[in-house]
Amino acid sequence: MSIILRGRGLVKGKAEGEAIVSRQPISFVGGVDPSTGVVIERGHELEGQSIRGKVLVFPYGKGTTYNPFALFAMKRRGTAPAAIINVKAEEIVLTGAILAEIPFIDRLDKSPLEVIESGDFVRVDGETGTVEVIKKKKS
Amino acid sequence: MVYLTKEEERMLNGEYGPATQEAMRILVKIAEAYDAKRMVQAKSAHVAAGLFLEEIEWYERLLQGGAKFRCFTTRHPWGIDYDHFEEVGTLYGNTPEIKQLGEMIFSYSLKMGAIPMGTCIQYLLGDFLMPRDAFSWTGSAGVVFANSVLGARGNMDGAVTNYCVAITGRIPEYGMLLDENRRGQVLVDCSKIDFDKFTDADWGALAWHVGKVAGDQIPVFLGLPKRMTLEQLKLLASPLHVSGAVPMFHIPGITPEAPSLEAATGGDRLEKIWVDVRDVKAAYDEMTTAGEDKPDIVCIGCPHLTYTEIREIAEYLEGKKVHPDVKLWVGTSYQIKVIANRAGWTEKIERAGGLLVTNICMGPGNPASARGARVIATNSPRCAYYAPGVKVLFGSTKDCLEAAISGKWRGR
Repeated sequence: MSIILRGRGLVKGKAEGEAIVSRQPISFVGGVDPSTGVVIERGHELEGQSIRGKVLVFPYGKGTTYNPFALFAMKRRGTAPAAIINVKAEEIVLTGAILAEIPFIDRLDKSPLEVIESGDFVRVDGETGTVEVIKKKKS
Repeated sequence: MVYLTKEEERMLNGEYGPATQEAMRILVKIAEAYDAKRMVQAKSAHVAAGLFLEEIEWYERLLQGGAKFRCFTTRHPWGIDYDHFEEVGTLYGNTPEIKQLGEMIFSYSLKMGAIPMGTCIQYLLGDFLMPRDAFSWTGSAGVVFANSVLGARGNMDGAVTNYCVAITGRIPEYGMLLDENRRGQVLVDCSKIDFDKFTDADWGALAWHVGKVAGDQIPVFLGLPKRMTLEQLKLLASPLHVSGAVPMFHIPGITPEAPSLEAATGGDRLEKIWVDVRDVKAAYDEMTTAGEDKPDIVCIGCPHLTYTEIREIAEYLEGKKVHPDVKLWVGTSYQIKVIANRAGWTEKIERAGGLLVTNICMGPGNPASARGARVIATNSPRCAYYAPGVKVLFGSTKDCLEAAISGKWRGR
């Protein structure tokens, strides 16, 4: 079964992939290895997991003003997420997504942190701000 | 939708070339994300570069697209100390190839029109802001200082935004640019602290603690000394957006828009947090991560040092010798070093065996670990937090200099 969420598309483009969800903010500088896409921040709930090619869901960004360039570098190295969904956009992740041309959506009508779980299959349309969530089968 | 003037429309439509168009498109997106109603004229931008090689692609595109900075723009340190490149180097090495690469990345911002200041205290060296001036700066220590001490208005903009503002001369009006977001949100009462005995590191430790408890709220400091020095204000501003996400503070009587407590709070009744010396001590413990008492290097200069700070260090070091197992780096901007040379301070520091280094950031990107340092002594919480790959001994400038001479840490 699929769930449709509607929000605000801030960076255009369509993408789909497996969701990876973090309840904690993410810093791409120092928090993620740009050459692998693996989260390396010690104690982070995604530590050791890869965000490469996935639909990355997190509340908002944190950390240094260099984060936009980290996302851009990851895009060029093929390690960036396929799309980003934030609860609330802030300027640093937004400008990184613009520069790296990663579809980016925020302000969904239901909290993406509650509706989407890691492992769900997610389709993102940055033009219309629509997110389609296909829940993973409960094992 | 954000309102654009005719000229801003022309920028967006590409009449000023593709770089201005791209920069304005990004700013319009930011305005949209924050529901900003209009753009305002930027008084100053401060730009950095060079953590990722991929950035070059963007700078090339901007330059080819005719990027020329429209507002006064200064350059953050680009990591090359021209007087001691081999000894200090960069985090990525100290070979001629690395220097060449650093120069190339630096040259993009120079070609776009940045003033090559190579410092994080640009506000002391001609990057002049007055109350209500809008700015977009890299480096959170400077942003907090400019918002709180100068009364200028800027958000914690990312590096991409800094360039877009520099290129267009415009800033979307939201966040800290608006009166309603600049009021104090939490009272921080320091009146139990005896500031007569406060050291430079104590100021940093106090601010570190306040950043943690304030989170992203704007603190209003109570009980601070009636008169504060430039250095104390600089040390107070620097850690607040490292341990926390504080964009500015109010000190009634000092912050331009807060002549009184009532002006700082807008008349709201706020929660009060008491801060005392135990909190300051706890911050010391948190920053001190080294178990050993032998530093390999002493780094003083995060944020970059003022004339007064350098003179005090030079006078302390006169006639003394830095221990052969310890390096001493004293960091500032090149302009200040020119004065230090003339005044004889550089000679006093270097005759003792220290280096007066310039254009180097001692926080993120501190090259000490690449030069073999494992234990760093510093008076700066920001350096303690960001310096990559080292353990930290945290104490006052005096503690740090004593350790540089004796080779042994006796700080708290």
